[in-house]
Amino acid sequence: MAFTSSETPGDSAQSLAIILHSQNSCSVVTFGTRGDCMADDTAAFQKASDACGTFFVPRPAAHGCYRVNGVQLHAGSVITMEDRNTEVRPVSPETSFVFGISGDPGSQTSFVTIRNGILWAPFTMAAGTAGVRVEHANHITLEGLIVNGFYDDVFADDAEYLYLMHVNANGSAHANVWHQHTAGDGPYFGGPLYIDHSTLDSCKCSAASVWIQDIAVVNITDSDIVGVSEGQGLHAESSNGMRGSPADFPAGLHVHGATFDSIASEPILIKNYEKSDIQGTWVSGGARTKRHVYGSAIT
Amino acid sequence: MDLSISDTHVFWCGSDGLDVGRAVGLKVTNSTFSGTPGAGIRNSFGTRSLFFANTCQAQSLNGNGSPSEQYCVYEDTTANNNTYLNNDGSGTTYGNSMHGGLPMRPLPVSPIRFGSSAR
Repeated sequence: MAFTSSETPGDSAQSLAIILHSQNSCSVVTFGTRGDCMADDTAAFQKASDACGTFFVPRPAAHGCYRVNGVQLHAGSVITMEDRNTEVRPVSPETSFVFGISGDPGSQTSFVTIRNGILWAPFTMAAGTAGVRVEHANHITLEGLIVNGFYDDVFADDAEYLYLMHVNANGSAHANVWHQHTAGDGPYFGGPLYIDHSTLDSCKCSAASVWIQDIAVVNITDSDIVGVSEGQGLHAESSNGMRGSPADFPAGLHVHGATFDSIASEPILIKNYEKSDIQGTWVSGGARTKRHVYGSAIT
Repeated sequence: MDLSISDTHVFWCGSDGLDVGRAVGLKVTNSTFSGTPGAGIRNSFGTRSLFFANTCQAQSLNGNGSPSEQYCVYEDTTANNNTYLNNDGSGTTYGNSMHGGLPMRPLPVSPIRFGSSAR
C-alpha cells in the first residue's frame, strides 16, 4: 500500500485517516499531485477520477493547496477531501470549473458526491466560471463543502436531485447557487433541489445568492442566506412556463426555518410558482436603495 | 398561485415587507412585519388571497431613515377578491387601508374584511 501523505504512518490520527481512506479509494497523490499551490494538478486529479471514479484528496502539507482546471467526475463516484483545510483552487480566472459533473440530455450522470474541503478562487473569476458545474446529472450531493469566490459557486443545469448539505457557498459575483432548467432539456422542470443546513453568504451577486429558474420542488431548510451586498437573496422564477394549455408552472418551493438578512435587493422574489410555502422564516435587512425594494415580492 | 407564507418574520426591509404582484390564492398568516417604512403587506395585484392574523409593530425599529411604518396592510385598487382578517395594524401610523383610504386609524384589530366581495 502506498502512503499518501508526507507523514510517517502512525504519527497522528490524521495519518490514520489518510491510510484508511487510501485503502478504499485512490488518492490523487498516487497520481502525482504536487499540492504546492503552484503546480497544475489537473492531470493527476483527472487520472484519479478516470482510473478509480471514487478518489481521496489528502490535505497538502505545509499550507499547500491544489490547483486544477476542470476535473470531470464520473457516475457513482465519491470525492472525499480530507478536511475543511483541504484546498483546491482554479488554475486561472478563466478556469471553467474545478469539479464538473456532466452527462448528456438523454443519459445523465448520476450519484456523485463531493465532501469536505474548500474550493477557493483567490482572484476574480471570469463570467461563466463555477466551483462545481453540474449538467445533465442527477443525485448529486455536495456535503460539508466550502465554495468561495467563483462567478457561480455552484452552477447546475438540467440537474435532478441536487443536494447541498452543510455547504458554505460565498463570495460569488453572479450567484452562490444557480440552478436552471434550460428549455429543451426535457418535457418537465428541473429539480428537486435541496439546500439544507447551509450558509450562502457574502455575495456581491449580479443575480442573486440563490437563483432558481424553472426548478420544481425546491427545499431550503434551516439555512442562512445573508450578506448579499448586491442582488437578491432568493430568486425563484419560471419564465417559460410549460407548454400546454393552460400553461403549467413549477410547484413546490418550500422555505422553512431559513434566515434572509442584509440583502441589497429583495430577500425573496417568487414569480410563477405554484403550491409553495414560506414558513418559520426570518426576512430582514433589505436595503432601501430605491422606492421599489421589497422584503418579499410575490409576482 | 397557491403560495402560503406563515409564521414568518419580516423585519427592517427597505420599503414594503411583502409586495404582492399578480398572485392568485396567496395565504399570508401568523406573520409579523416590522420596521418596513412603506407597508407591511402591500397587495398590488393579488386576487383570491387571504391575509389572516398578521401583525405589524415596532415602527420605532425602522432603521432605514423613514419616520414611521405607514401601513400594515395596504390594498391597491388593482387588487381584488381578497380577504383580510385579524391583521393587527395598531403599531403603524395608518393601520390597514383599502385603496389608499386615509386616515383609518385607529383601526380595529379586526375582524375587517375588504376587497371586491365587500364593496
